[in-house]
Amino acid sequence: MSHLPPDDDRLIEFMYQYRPAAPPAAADLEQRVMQGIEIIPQQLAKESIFPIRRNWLFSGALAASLLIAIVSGYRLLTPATQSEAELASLEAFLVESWDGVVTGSETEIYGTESILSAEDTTKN
Amino acid sequence: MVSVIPDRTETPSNGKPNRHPDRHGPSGPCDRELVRRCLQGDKHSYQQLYRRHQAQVRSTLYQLCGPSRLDDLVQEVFLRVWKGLPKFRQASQFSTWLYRIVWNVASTERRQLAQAHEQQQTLCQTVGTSPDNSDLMHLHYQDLVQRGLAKLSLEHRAVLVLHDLEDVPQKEIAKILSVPVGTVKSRLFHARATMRKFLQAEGVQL
Repeated sequence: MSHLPPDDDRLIEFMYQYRPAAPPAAADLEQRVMQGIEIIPQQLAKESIFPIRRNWLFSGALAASLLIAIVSGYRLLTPATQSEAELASLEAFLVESWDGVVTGSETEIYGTESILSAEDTTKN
Repeated sequence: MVSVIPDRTETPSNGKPNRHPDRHGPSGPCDRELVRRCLQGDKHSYQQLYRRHQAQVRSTLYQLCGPSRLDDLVQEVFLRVWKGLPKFRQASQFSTWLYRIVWNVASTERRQLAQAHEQQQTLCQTVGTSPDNSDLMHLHYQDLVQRGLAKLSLEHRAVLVLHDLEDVPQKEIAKILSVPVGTVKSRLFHARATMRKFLQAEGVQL
């Protein structure tokens, strides 16, 4: 501010010289302030520490949740190892189901043929 | 047109009068030391801080918000300061941090005043409660400066008050208002131009 234009300098001096002075403070203002700080608990004055702790807690909880979710997902998606008995049971079920399908088809074919032959007999 | 520029009585090497000699060289422990003691629960040190800075805080709040609720605003500033002391970073200047709180309190107050449409009433009160002074011209010029300040937006007014009336450096003002230094310079330029135009229109020769 050492190179102010002359008119700026004069303006500033004028404003400073004639700035309205603040009215005097109430006689008990200082006392009010000091009483005010008495009723503000010290914990409040140190509350800035807590947001940092809270952030750490939140981040920790988030990381733990993510870890649990990943591990659970992995377990769900990976097929469990089967025992011999379970494998045998599964094989038996598949064979039975397959036989059922094949047998069912033959029955249906036979059934269709017998219907067709019956129709032919009627026509003749 | 009357020339009303007062004589300079003190002019240090930087070309600006040293209007707040106590601010740059306070007696007793420095602000940082007092803050350190306050953080240990020493309320007497806080009283020293209050006494050291209350005049500047009061003056700034008065220039920004007028006389209504002035005591309450000063009280609010110093209670917020006490409450927020642990958040104060010792690396920064205490006065900058203090002015930042002043600015926050003043902004809130101005918003509330605007919402309540009380600005005009406040200005009337300002004129009515000027300090007793037999010099009518002095009162007249005080009234002009007050009216000129009232013509500025809060942002321009804050920069003008802090820089030209409270001697806060532009760099510190930038920190207080959270704006770049270039913005401070720009606002200062426009604020001075508006003020000069108003004063000249009122017959003041600058």
